[in-house]
Amino acid sequence: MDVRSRDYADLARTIIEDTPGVRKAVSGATAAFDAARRRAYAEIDAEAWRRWAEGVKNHVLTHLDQYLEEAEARLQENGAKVHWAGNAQEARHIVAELAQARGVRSVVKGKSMLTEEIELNPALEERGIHVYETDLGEYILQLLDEAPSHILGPAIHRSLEDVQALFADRLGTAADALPDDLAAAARTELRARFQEADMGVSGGNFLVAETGTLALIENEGNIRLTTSLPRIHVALVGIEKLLPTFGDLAGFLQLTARAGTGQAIGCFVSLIQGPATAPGDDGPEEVHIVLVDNGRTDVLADEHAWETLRCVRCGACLNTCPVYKQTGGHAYGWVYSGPIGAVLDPGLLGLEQTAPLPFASSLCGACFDACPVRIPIPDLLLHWRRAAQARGLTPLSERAGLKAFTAMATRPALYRYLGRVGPRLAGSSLFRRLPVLSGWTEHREPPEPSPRRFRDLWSEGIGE
Amino acid sequence: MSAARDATTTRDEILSRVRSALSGRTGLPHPGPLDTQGEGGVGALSSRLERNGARVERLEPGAAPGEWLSHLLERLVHEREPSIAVGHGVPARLIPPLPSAPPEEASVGISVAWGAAAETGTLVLPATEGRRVQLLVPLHVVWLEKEHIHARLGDALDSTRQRGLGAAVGLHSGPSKSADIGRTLVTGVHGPGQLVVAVL
Ligand code: SF4
Repeated sequence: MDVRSRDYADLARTIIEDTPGVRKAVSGATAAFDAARRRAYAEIDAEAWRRWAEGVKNHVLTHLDQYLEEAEARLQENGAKVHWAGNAQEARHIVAELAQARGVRSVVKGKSMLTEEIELNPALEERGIHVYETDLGEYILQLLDEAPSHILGPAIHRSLEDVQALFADRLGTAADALPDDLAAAARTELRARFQEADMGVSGGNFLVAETGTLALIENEGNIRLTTSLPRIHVALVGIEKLLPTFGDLAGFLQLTARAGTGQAIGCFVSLIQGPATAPGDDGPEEVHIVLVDNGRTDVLADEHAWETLRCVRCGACLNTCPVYKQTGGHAYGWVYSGPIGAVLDPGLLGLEQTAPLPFASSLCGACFDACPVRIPIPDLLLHWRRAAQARGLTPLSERAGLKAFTAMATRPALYRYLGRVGPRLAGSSLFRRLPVLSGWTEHREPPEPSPRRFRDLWSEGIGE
Repeated sequence: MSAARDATTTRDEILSRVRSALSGRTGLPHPGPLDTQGEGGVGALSSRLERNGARVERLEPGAAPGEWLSHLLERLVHEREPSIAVGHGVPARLIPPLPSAPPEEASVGISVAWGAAAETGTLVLPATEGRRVQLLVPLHVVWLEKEHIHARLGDALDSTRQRGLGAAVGLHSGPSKSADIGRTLVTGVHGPGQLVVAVL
């Protein structure tokens, strides 16, 4: 997707002012996810699990070259083909060429943020190949021609009424069809697509170097179908997705699910080593793994930002973020949104294109407490802020406005107050009048404490 | 330049970028195994599976498994004559006397699990059983031997690895579900909407 992160303030304003339903839908969904995550963390020694996961990821990232070579060797032994893509264009090219060379006419897809990142669908469609998103949320968005707004719940910004209207129009369901009927209609439609597809495209949650195992987590079963029914399976995997040993999987499968949805594990996990070998195993004849860099080695080289590469894309930081929930993901102007987007996007895309994002936070620290791999997001927000300021990339007024907005987002009482006085400030948009609050917020930004202390400092300093 | 040389170059470039990013950095140690301290046994497995939305049934002592399952299915499937699709590894005595159908048409799929993990309510299903039976049917019955229940997922995966991971392994821990439409839970979106675990 096009990068529009520089327009964060405008995008956020437009969403808040023009589509008030989004805030309601996103707040509700993230609150439910967050509550489930808290319950699921309370059942385990979450602190120990998170430290362990952080340690495993740190180990793999600081030995990444070795583990990439090991994964490649194992996958080849398993009969899978490994491809390497330096950037988005190369990744698109590899998949499109594969598809074309094998006469692929239609592709079914499992949810994958990386395929959004590299803009795979248009590249395939350009060559006359039909692409069908099969995750229910992604399917809804494909019909709407919209980008996902959340890592796990791509369509959380859309209400039941939105989907009823959409499916009535496109699938002929009743205008007041219940969710069960809507899902059944989508299932019927997509079942036919699964049966006829020549290629299944997925992402990958983990890639185990020791065994060449690609692990995929889901709840619907569409990823299992995507990776089982078509004769060709292509998985796009960021180079940071590696795990060292097969023994590491059990911990990561559980922790990722607990962090993301509060489940003990996803309803379905696929552990894929390679193409079908036994007769009757109903698997693909060919399995291709595309290892994608696309800026990740630059992030790895950054002595602070490399920690973002531990991210397992669970969405927990989005769910707990008071700023994200005001707008959902679209305001951030790129694939990865919320707290992780605000620190990962500058690393992957460069600050020029993303400078406002690190300012779209109140530094409350909740994201760090939620993160299963303990990415110090508040520290990294400050890191990118300093870098943006040093390079003069964000005008002072915008910085102040964003800070005030984010402060407001975390202070419902003030938000309500502004909502009341707002109409009286004729002629000025919400964001243009925000800088008047900058003095109020400026001295409240804690100096540079460790992430652990952010929330304490913040609540001490402010209080509701 | 040939495509093959291009590919090798890209690979080497990425690896060399990784190496230069890491140069001068200390390699951090692996923290060792994580002890998830799960609880074992049929009881723990059942309560977790039920929380996940599955149904657990224990074979009545002395009952013939095929017949027993046939009666169970009469209660669960609201069709006059349910049809079954059976995985490759299912022994004859576990197959109910019902008409068979291909997985895309059958009302019930029947598999045997290689193992299970109580802490997550997970069944281990190898691809060699046939994946369509595990995925395309509305109701999936999985036979499980009590002795194959592990407390921890890690142990269930280890024993699977010893037996051979093959092309693919599926871990099923509940029925297919989604909350993508208006945050309402729906089951049976793509995979089986009902999961029944039959413990032997
Ligand atoms: S940064 Fe942490 S909490 Fe956020 S998506 Fe990544 S792993 Fe999850």
